[in-house]
Amino acid sequence: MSENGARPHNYGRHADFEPGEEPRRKRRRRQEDEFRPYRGEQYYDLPVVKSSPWGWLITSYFFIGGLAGASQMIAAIADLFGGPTQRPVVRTGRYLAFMGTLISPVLLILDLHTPARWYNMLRIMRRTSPMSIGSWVLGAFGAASGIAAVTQLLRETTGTTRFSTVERAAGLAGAATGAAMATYTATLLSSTSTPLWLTASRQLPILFGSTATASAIAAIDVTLAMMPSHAAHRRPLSILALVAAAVQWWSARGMEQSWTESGVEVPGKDRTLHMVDTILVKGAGIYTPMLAHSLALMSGRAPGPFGPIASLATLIGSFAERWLIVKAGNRSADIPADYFRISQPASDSEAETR
Amino acid sequence: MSALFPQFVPERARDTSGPIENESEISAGVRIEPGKQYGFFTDTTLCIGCKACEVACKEWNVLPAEEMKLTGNSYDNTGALGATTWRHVSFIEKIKDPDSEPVTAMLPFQSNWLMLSDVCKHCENAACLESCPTGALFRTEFDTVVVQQDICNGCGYCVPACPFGVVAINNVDGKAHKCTFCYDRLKGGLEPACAKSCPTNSIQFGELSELKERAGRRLGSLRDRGVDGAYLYGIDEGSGTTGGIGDLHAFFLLTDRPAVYNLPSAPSLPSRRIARGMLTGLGTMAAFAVAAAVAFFDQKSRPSLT
Repeated sequence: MSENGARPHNYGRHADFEPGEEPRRKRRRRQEDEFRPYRGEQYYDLPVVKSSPWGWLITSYFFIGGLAGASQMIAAIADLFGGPTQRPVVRTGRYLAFMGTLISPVLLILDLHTPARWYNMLRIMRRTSPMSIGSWVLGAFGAASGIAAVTQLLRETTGTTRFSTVERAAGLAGAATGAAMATYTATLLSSTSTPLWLTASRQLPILFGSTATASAIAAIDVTLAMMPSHAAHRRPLSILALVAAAVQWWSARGMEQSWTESGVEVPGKDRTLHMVDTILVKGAGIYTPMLAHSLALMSGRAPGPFGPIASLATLIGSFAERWLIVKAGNRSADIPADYFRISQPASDSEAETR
Repeated sequence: MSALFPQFVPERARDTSGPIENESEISAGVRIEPGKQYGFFTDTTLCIGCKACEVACKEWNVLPAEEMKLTGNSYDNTGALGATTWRHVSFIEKIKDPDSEPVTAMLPFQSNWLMLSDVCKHCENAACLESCPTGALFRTEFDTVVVQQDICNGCGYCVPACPFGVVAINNVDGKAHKCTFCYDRLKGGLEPACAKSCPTNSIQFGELSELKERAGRRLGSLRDRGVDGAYLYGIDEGSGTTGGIGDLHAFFLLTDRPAVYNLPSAPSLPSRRIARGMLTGLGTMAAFAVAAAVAFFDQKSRPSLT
């Protein structure tokens, strides 16, 4: 386009603010926690992208589907490595997973705006759509969990061992698909144009995976505590719960840093969301089980009533975390400054100064 | 008009007893054939904000009116694209000059007003289409993107997926909706309703390659006349085409930064984040599986505490 003459403005390939408005060198030296608000132009403060129409049904599915997936995985590992003392963990994990597969599709179908057409999810397989991938993962997981639960029930009621190979194989298939169940929902969220989800694409799968694991352990623990014949050795579950809580804390911290670095308004800015995050997600969901399981492991004794209480707190925290992520994400889509901030050309702000 | 000025009406359009075949040849100078790429070139320097496109779109597609309200945002009482609004004219009154002095006199170019008729971009790589789990969203033989209303089950994933905030769910019928590029009209040899109704030719319909050339010529002409800030949004690897989205089949000639028109400078294609996310997730769970195996194995050699 040489015949067009000089191009004093090159808006077509430039950022939405003058370089002078925000000195580049200074920004490279910024503190990690420094919030970088968008200072460019906006259109009457109106949203640029649309927020998802998802609410408590999807939140519940994220919680229950993740719990079910991780339960099946823990059950399979306990089956392979746990020995006789861990049999209650295996059977509880399998039944929990199966219950999850019964509830999950109901939640998902109810959330559709045209529920009668739920079967259209089975029309295609699309690898560019995490929701399509997830539908098939849920289908496979449901089938495997169903077979595992039914063969287990047959063995327990009739005493037959004819299906024990099928049972174990189905359990393993359920564990593999369960691992996907526990984490694909994070990718489903970050593969959108919602600022809060998009900018956490690295940490969200780790957070969802660890939360699913923590909630599965908690659910197994609570179920075992309610049963009189409960004799499972608690130590492995306590160790796992401690690891899961630590990973949760670590990935949540990374996620919050990522939000701050990319200039996205963190949920903590809103009073309600901040309270949910501090009290339920962190307090009940992470710190309580951390404390309870550390004490139990250090004392070398069974945690007594504190075990189930900590597990209940974990479950509440896990649900609150999914709720918080969905809710805060939907809010962030309505903040035009956040979307403008994250959709600035990288060449202007980052690459040139590298 | 044909009765008053028969000389202005092409020969084959004078028979009004039935539809005119390939009408777009007369109205837009292009024949519509399957297998070719069609698009919109929206030249905002020609827009006068009459909203004829909004009305034509609603009329042709039988879209209901929105709730009437005054937004206070200049003449933009439409607000945004939505399930029943597939053209949206934005109005920007640049009442301040770049040095923050209030403008007291009308500037010669566009009187300091910017107007843009926004529409679905019909992206080369469309996030809505990629995210759709039912295949309701598909690419037509004219290389446009359409929601099949008899397939969509209203899962809502295309809504947050779109990098331009175009698609929306209608709670009345429970389906996702957006501009269809007048798929039915294209099939019948008619140019889209909005382009046909545009009185200043701000919205131009045509074959994509031809539109791009036309846009380049218009840009050159504007630059020659001193409109230095003019640029094309959505083609030539410029703004709007970033992050794997590719050319926008509805592209724009703008004279201010994208954000002024509520358009993102460098959006990205959501599906680009899938592979890494899935692998991270499965890796996390694999790590937990190993940790669980160690924990379970470890306790076998210990005496039971219960």
